[in-house]
Amino acid sequence: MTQPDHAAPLWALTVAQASRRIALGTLSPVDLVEAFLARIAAVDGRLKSYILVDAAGARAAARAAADELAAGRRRGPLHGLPFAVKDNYDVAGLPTTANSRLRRDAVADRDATLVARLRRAGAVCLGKLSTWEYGTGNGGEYGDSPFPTTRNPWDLERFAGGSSTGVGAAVAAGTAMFGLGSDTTGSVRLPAAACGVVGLKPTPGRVSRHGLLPNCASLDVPGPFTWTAEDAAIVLGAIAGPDPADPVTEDVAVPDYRRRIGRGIAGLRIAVAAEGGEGFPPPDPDMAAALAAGLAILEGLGATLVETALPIPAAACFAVSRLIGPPESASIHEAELRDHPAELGFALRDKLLGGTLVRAADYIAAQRRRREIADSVEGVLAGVDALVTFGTHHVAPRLADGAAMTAFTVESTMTPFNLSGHPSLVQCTGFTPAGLPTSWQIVGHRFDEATILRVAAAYENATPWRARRAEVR
Amino acid sequence: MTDLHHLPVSEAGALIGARKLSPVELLDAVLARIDAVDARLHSYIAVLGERARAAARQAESEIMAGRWRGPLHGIPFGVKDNYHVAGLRTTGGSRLMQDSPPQTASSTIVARLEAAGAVLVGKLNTWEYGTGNGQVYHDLPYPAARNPWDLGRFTGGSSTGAGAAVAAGTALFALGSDTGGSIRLPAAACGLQGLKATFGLNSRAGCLPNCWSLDHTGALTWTVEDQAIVLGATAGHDPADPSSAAAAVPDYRASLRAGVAGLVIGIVRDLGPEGDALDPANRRALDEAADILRAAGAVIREVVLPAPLSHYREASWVINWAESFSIHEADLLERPHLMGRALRAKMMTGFCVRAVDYLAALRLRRALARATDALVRSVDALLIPGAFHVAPRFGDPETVPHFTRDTACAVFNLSGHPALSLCTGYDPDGLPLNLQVVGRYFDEATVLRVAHAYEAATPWRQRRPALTPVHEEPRMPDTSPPAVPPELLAEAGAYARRYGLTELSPAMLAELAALFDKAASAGRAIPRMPSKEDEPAHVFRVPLPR
Repeated sequence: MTQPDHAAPLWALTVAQASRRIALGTLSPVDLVEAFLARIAAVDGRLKSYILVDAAGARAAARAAADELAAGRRRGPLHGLPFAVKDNYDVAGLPTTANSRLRRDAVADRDATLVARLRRAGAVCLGKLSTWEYGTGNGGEYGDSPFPTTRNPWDLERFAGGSSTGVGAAVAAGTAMFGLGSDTTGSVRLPAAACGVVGLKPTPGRVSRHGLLPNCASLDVPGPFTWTAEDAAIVLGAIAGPDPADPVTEDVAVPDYRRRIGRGIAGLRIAVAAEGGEGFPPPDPDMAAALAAGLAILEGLGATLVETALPIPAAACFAVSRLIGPPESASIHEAELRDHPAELGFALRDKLLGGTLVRAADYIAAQRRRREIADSVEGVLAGVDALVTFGTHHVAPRLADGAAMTAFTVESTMTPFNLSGHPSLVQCTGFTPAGLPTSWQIVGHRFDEATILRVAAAYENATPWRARRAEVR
Repeated sequence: MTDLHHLPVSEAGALIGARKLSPVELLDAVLARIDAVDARLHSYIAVLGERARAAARQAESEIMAGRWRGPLHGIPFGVKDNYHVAGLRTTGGSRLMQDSPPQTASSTIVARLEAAGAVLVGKLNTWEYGTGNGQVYHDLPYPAARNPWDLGRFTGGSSTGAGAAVAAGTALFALGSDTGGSIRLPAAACGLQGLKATFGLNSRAGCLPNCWSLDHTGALTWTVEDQAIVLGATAGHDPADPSSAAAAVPDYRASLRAGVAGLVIGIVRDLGPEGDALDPANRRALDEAADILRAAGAVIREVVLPAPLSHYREASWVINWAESFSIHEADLLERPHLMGRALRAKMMTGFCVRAVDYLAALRLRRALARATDALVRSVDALLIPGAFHVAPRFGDPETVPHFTRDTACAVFNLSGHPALSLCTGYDPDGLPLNLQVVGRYFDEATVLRVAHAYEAATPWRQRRPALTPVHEEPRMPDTSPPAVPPELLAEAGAYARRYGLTELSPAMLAELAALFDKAASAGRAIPRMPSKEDEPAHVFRVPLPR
């Protein structure tokens, strides 16, 4: 359940709440954007969620949205709502720096497809959010990027999760109402987990990658960050669907994700893989306890739980993805590594150097293994409506703790679903005694984002976690 | 009347359909031909006399009972021994497969041909696993197939037996497979029509893989009409092959005789510096073909490929080496001594390819395919050289790799367009000449129509090889270990150990060192795509919801 609408400051409104107020005429897009700009001014000096705040552009867009409303035209549920994107998305007129020294002047001449779709839906772009350089790295934070390291809004000493570092932080802290990130092996879901928000990695082909800087062509999937599951349904509805500019997008009908989201989960069969699996240390006790409690809630809501395990453990999947991601990244950034290695941050350089050493035979073996992994996940999903697993195995680590940083990024149950191509969503399952978010992951059938959103919404409505906001201190 | 074993499929099929020829009689003629010539031709690895007789008898009784299945009913054919046939061992021409168990299911297109009533005569000779390094070392478990036009010459590879069989009449048609020309090169060397159809048109399920990204299955036939008949039976979507396309299969024979009046046919005469290797006789035949088609009403337009031939070749080599090695990795690590030299050399090259070079090749492939498609779509069909040389002599082994390498075949494995190797006559020594006819994606009908117009206007199909006894014995190519600098030898040795290749003799290690350099140079030579957004050609897609 979310905070009562009237009690929330404007920056803490959900998409659904703000949308309703705008439709009723009780909230102006101009006031809303001003509230977010004020919030950014108040907290982003400490939080560092933004690389670039486009205040002038946002104000102009908000005024235009308000004018349209005054003229009786409302484009839809996102009309007048402020969002921001990871700085690997192109926004016309702004540089797409990807937090790289090599791209400080790379001004985009047009919007990425998803940005264009959100703007066409009336949403207002606040700016560009922080990211690991080129949306990737080696799991570490070395403080050597051109823009400062994003902090976790629940504890500023801690990591916000990568690589979409600024997106998770912004949505949790209210410096953006929703955001777009990108996920190669967890880069949407890891920050969502660390920051206690909803992060959705849709089915590959569901959303366009056009205008998004590539990191790994065979694994990259863009995805939304929102405060609630219902908000994710609204945003996904606006961005999903085929795009002739991205040959991987599929012409599969886009359902109304919001329509069935409140139906509850009575009668749904939900598989549960409640082990971290062989090869990784067990998940944090707080994480495990939250998962167990959450399962009881799902059962109480009428779902039938089916115990299972991933036939190919997450650690084995990670071993496969690390032979696909680094060489593909190295192929994409080959010229920079050769010509400007000293201008790359350590994390990216480390990954690219590793990628250049991978043999074709090992890369191909990994791609062949991927088909097996995909089939094994299909097997787990056969006969059930969704699957619940751990997402991250750990809560957000301290930025100063190198080993914990690496463990946070590596030890997760996320890569199986990048490799298999199944949609998956991470949501908050509560807080540790220290106030750090715990989380789990809900996985669905391909192109069936609707069911995982429905499960997430049912859980969310039965728990108090959405009423608590980060104080950013 | 023509000897029965030299009948084109179309004629034999018509006679059988009219009950003027018995499938049993036809098969007996082919088996007699095999008995008469295959000891010197070596087209077969295994002749399936009893199985074939049973199939021929069944065909005969069905036809006598009024159940004629169509133009392939009762037609004897052979398949390269990389196609699975239920109940039979597939050897791939390799020592590594001699003890493999019988296959449980037939490959899709063999099953489709058998369902159309065709009679499988046997498994045909092949380079080991349908691949190699372009050279023939005479070190495989089966003797090398010989070219029926001159038994001292190479048949072209890798579908060696398929080329020899159809030219010599030990099969009326044959299935081969083509990764960089392995259907079209034997067709060219043996004076046949060999079609590599559009990527995805013919199923690959049940055919031993060589390189997933570039492998195509297809037939070698005596005439273009025979191609139309066989393709009509093999083509079409197969759920067992993830690369299979759901394209409609037209009646390829219906438009075969529509002529070429009004068609715009591009001709690629200029292949850049690599094109200098083209034999004058093949160049002349290409020009004459253009003249013949122009006289038949086609508009001939000079065009050029959108990229240097070397780009296509380098990309296809790197992809082929790397994927092939992925397939045979365990065999190279554990049983390298059982491999023939040609396969082992290719495997050792693939062992050395870096992932970034493989990815650069796949990224280049997507761009080359797009650019090549723009060219192909600008015309109705394209004429372009195929094999640049006539069949080389085994007595002059240094020329054998040139036959395999000096071609414009790999262009269309990379781009996926249909390409047919067409016999364009004979050189003064009586050796077959060739060119390729290329068409738009899934427009095999136009390729066949153009090829048929040419074939009908020329006398080449009236000549058959004599299989005169060999004048010249093969000579082994030089296999002495290459001289490599010690530091390169040390580098290759360290690399081999790092990745588990520990079974190499000192000579093999020297060979690896030379290939280490070859793989690295080929990888570096691949032009890099200018944009980060240019994706590799293999990007993963999830299946659509049913």
